[in-house]
Amino acid sequence: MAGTPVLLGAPAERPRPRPPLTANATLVGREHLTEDVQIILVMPDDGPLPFQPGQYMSLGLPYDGGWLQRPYSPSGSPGGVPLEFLVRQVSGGQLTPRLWATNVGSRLRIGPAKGIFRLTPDDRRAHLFVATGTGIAPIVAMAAALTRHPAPPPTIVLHGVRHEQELAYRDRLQRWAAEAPRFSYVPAVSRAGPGSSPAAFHCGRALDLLPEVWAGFRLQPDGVIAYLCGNPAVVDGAAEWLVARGVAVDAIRREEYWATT
Amino acid sequence: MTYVVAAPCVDHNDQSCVDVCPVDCIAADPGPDRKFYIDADACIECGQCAKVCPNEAILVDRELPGEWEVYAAIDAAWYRDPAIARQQVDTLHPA
Repeated sequence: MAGTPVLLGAPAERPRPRPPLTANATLVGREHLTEDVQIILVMPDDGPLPFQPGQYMSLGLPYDGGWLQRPYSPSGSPGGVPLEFLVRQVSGGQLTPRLWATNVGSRLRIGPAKGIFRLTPDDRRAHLFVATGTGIAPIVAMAAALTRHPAPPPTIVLHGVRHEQELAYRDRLQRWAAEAPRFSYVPAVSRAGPGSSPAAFHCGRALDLLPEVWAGFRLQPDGVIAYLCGNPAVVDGAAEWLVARGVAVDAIRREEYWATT
Repeated sequence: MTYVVAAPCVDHNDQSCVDVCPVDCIAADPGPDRKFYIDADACIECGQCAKVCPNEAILVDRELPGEWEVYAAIDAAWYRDPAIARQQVDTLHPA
């Protein structure tokens, strides 16, 4: 791979240096799932921003004369406003503690959609989504797109979290599982607390449940496209397990949520 | 810490990095530039650019091999005075 000459785009098409950034959106709502996880709603000034399910956008707050920005994946559908983001507060982080302290009505910066973690149009293979924590956000956006497809492929969403309250979008995913054809939702909680309802989810880690999901849905190595998103260790572990089962490397798409500050 | 665009980008510049950078901190001027440059002040160190670069040209600064350490300064220079950065690239890579 190293040294392979790749020349895409004529020089005239190269991007120029960035213009100064300005606020272009407003924080219009938030829902706390836990003390450290919340869904925030952002209204861009110019209406819906184009994106493909699975992509991310940068969210920024003014800071030290510039902008403090971090990427987040919208969990809603393209064309919808306000945009919806699932955010975990990082202890000692730069952006998220400030975001927690930002009032509804405050101005934000939102960047254009980026990233190559996207669906392949009309892929007929079973779609196996494995997410941990807030990694469910782009998965929900992609799963929503599949529910709208006239002939959706088999779709399985395995979402692992530590605490039940972190099962973001559970109502939405359960509704799709009940209503959409060939759609399955497997929530997994690794630390079920005394107040939780274990009948509503699997107890354990997503990675440990993967073999059970694979067998239960009778998945075949050449009939699966896997989308993995979240904790890098889980993403790595799931990818290794799938490859060991015979899934081709190019049938495994991954998005790692690194420990951002 | 920041990511840096090193030698393999020169004259092979692909735009995959630009397509994934969430904060648009990778740029080049049409025409005169032979590589892309990362703005260290804006880079949030997500590493998406390094993952997608087909030329394996992008590394985090602390992991640059000795012969490529100069590219950290070249990238930084471009955001102050592009002509200086271009001159350094041309010196390292005579056309």
